Amino acid sequence: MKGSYFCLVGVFYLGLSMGYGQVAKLSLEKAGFEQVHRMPADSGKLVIWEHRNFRNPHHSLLWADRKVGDSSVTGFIPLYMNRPMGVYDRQTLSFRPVTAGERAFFRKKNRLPTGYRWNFRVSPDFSARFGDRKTPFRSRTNLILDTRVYLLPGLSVQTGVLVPIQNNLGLWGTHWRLAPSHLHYFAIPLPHHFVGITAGTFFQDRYGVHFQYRYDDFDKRWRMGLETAYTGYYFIPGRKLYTDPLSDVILLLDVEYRLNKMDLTFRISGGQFIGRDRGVRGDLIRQFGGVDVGLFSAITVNGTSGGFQFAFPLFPGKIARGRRWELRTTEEFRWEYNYSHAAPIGRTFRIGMPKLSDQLRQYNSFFIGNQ
Amino acid sequence: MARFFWGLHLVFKPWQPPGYSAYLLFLLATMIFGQLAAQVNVLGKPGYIMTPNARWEQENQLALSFSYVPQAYAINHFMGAYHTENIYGVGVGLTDFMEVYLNITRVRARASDIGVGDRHLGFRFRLLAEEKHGVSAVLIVSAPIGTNQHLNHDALIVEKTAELSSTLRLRATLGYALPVIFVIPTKEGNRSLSLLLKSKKQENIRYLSGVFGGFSLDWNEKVGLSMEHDGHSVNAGVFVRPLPWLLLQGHTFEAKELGFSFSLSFPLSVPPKEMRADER
Repeated sequence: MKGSYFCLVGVFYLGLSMGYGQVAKLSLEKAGFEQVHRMPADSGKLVIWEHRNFRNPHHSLLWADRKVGDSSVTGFIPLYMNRPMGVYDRQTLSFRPVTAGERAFFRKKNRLPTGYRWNFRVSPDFSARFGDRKTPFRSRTNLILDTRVYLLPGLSVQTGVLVPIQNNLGLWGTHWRLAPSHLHYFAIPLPHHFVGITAGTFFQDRYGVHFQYRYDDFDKRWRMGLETAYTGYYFIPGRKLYTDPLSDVILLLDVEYRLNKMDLTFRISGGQFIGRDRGVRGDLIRQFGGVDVGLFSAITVNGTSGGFQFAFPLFPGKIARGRRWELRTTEEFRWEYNYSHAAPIGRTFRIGMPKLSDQLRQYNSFFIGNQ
Repeated sequence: MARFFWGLHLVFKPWQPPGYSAYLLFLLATMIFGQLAAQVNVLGKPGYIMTPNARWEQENQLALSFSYVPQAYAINHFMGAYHTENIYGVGVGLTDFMEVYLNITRVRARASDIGVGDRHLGFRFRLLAEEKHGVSAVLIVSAPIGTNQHLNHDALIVEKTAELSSTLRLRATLGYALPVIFVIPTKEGNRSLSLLLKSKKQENIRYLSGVFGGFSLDWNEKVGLSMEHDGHSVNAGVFVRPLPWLLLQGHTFEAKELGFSFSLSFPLSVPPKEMRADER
């Protein structure tokens, strides 16, 4: 009898010491959020989290609002690649940049790599070519299972295995091999200035270094950026890694203007595309929420071409989740169709994660407020 | 999930039983709950049977369509002959005044030679909205690219709808399509932007040239019938929408041949499954 009394008292005090905050944190972690930290603010509390499951941060914000429970929470600080992206008000979803104090608070609380789950991601890799006379529709489908591990603030490594499923497009065999793997460093040296450096193997059989810089004030309509890469050709015949020397340089400058009413972005990029292809490319991108659809045309030394691209989160998202691990489908499957396929016209390559321009576009305060 | 992309590949494999791709599309549709599917023409643009109309409500959705066109009324004149053809279409409303459509044609009889044929890209622009101007108007422009331009059409369409009762609606459309097509010769290494004008008659393109028109009568947007004159023939059909996102249509060409089509629509702004599952 006495024992159970002490037990009850114990549970009571434990409950008190954990408080509502701890419950809210657990509930967020259970809902797929990672690196969850509470932070005292002027009027209530802010919650810092990273959420890799959803492509659109608006969905993550709504999801956090529903799952956090605690009514004293007034805002959220979503992280991307272990960096705080901004403060979004819980009620109005309005945006303001992170202050130096908030950044310092997060730096102190940041737990690496234990603040994250083992996050295993399934994504298909699909290439197709139409219009060949012998085999009119050629395609190659691979399935990739990969994971990203955070090593240091902003520094992460992504690697995995690539399983070929079907291929009548070209060589590359049917053996399992290393999926595009890279080391990625993401930093926000000054507010609105973003830098991403990626080194490793990429899609479209490229390996090398890729650098991105963007100026993007989430409250503004104009954005601009620089993308540059120094790459070479690689392939994996069995257990070896075959590489051509690094030889290809991409150097692109871009400007984007956003028509807020329709979530429509106009983008002009120019410079040198893949394969020493110099010219300009215009993009029209519509953000529907989860899905982006874009049209583009390019005029370069290789000729004139056009096409479309789309990006969407792959159904169903979460497959299974434990306390320390998760299996999910990719948050972004991106596919681009280019009308011309003989010589590359206005092309770049996928690096295995969303490019900064595509990622930051979704944190725009109008985009988040519009939905 | 790979099955979906696998499926896209299988759609064009020559040994498939008929309707297999339709089945795959249906599976895909059941995975995501869609929005209202519009009545579309054989190319997947809002319309009756062969002709387009000026209906406008595809914003925020992706529409997929499939149609079967019998040989006598086929559109694609591949290698000097017409064949029974299947036309696949994808359409998406990019803005509230512009939609983009893409088509590929599969000719089963010539699949081993020409496969999916050439791709057709078209745009649809909203000029007038009926709520505002009393009549709706739409402009269709085909991208002047490609080597096979059999699907190309540039047309202006006006339309008027009338509510006959609280459940019955009549829609009447009149349109004019240019008897010529525009072509930009796209060759690798060719950077000059020259626009050529070609006569449809000389190029053996019989799809939509000159005046066309049609009407439809529907009950609660669930069942309806439609009739049209596409410039060559008078066609009539019935359609039924068993599910909001699925529309099936059967029609006759001049009461001589039968054809069918269906369209599906998906919302593009749907929240992730984990969120939706939580709401239930």
